[in-house]
Amino acid sequence: MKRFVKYVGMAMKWGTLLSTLGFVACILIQIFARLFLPTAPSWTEEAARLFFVIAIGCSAGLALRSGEYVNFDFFYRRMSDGWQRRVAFSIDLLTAILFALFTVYAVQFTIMGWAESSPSLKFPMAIPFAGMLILGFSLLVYAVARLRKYFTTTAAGSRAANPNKL
Amino acid sequence: MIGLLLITFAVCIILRFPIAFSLGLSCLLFLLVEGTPLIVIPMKMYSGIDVFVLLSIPGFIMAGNLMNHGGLTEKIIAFCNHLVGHIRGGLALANIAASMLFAGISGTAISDTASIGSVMIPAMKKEGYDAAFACAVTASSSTVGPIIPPSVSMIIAATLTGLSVGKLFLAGAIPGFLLGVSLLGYTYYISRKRQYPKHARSSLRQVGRGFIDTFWALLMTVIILYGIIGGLFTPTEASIVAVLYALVIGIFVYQKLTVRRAMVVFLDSMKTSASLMVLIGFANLFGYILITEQLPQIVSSQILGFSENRYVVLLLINLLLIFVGTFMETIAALLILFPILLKVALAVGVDPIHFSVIALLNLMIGLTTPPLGVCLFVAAGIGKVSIGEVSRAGLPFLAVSLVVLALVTLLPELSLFLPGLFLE
Repeated sequence: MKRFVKYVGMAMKWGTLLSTLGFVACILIQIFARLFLPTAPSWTEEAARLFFVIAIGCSAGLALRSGEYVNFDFFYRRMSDGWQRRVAFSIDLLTAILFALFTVYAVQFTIMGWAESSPSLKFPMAIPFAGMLILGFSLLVYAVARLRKYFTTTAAGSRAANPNKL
Repeated sequence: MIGLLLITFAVCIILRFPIAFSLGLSCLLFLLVEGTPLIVIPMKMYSGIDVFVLLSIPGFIMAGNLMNHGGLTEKIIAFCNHLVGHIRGGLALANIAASMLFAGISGTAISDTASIGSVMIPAMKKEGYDAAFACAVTASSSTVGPIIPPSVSMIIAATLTGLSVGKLFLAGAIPGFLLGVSLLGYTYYISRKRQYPKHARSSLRQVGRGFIDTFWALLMTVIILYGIIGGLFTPTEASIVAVLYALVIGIFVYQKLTVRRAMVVFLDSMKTSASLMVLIGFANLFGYILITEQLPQIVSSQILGFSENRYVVLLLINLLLIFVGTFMETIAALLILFPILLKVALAVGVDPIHFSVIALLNLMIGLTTPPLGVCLFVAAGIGKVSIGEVSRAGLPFLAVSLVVLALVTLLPELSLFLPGLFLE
């Protein structure tokens, strides 16, 4: 599992970087063409949006790993350690369930996209829709990885850890 | 059924679920109970983020982060200190001035509090300022940032309303400046009263040097605004031009950026952007449910049933937004409440651009409203002071902000003058 998460992390990192460079390049081409060429290509906006959706899909899980999602911890900080642990476990469990369902339905959504094609570049819409599949999958992987920490620490003989405090 | 959605959302927030996931979970439960096909979740997430103008958000975040890697925060603080450090309470004044200048680079209040506060709060404590006062100044002044352009929150408001991003950027300039100047005025008054220290006057050479150090960063704001307002770029294009500009400045002028480091900044910026986009995607689904359940109409008829007086309605909206702003992240609050309240505001004849500024100002003030204001917590953490002390010290700043809010609410010209001047 640890190795799997590591490989997913690597793939998401490179996916994020390449697709980010992709949308930056598309917009730079758009600016250059509009300012210096007689006509601006019509495909740049569509391609930029495609790269952007993929970049967001790839980086969503990495954001969970880095604790980028904003929360409101006024009440949580007033709870005892035991309750904090229970609540943190529930959060990770429900997050994993949310994104497990999200991923399943994102597969359906992606399959639906094979029947449609994009207006300018004519690629199947399944390609940008797959950004949602990547997003759900990457968040699911990191939510499960966080859940796993509770059990691995317990198996080692100590009390279930709260990954928020690791 | 709508009660189930709202209660689940509130419980999740209280239990410290990330706000984006709170939206997702409450929607999931609602859809399961209603028997709606769950494919609507990825569909609405996709339609929420597949919007060209939203590409400007990672662009602006990347440009700001690239600039910061050149030690920009310290340079801006040093420049402001040269400018106003010789006045009584100079460091506190420099803190506010730095927030006003930093506004163009960062665009979010919490990051302003964290980045400027980590330098200024310890420095102010060291010079003998009351620690709670130092925290309160930092927290209050950081709310100026997202009102002065460019602002991520303004881009979101523009996306929600279909208004021009350029007009919204301009609309925030005078209110943001007014808020900053008002905070400077109060800080000066307190500093004189408490005899806070002042520095020796900086030489013209030092001021010039400080200006040159920050010039390239400030020029970025000018390029962004001129590009958008002058019709040269769309907001998305302007943000990418800013990225390119920040890369060139970071590598060749500040000489602190390498290609490897730039990649790390890109990755970090995309993580921040992704967390916002997941929030936007789930908020799109949440908003879709609210609309199908006709909540905007219900809220609108309730408020308008209470009063149709424009000022009474605006007062009610202000109170609601400040309350929500105290515990909810600005962008989440904007995404959920803005479309609902805009309908009410339009019904009593409020200009949508004016309303956008009012809404954003309210949510910013919420960030420094005791006892829950997020910026107060961030500043208190840096200053190692209790939240109670910071809240007490922050009350006069809150009062000043509320006066500015009242002015901005009552005088639409403050928001509409610049958009009318440049973009009509």
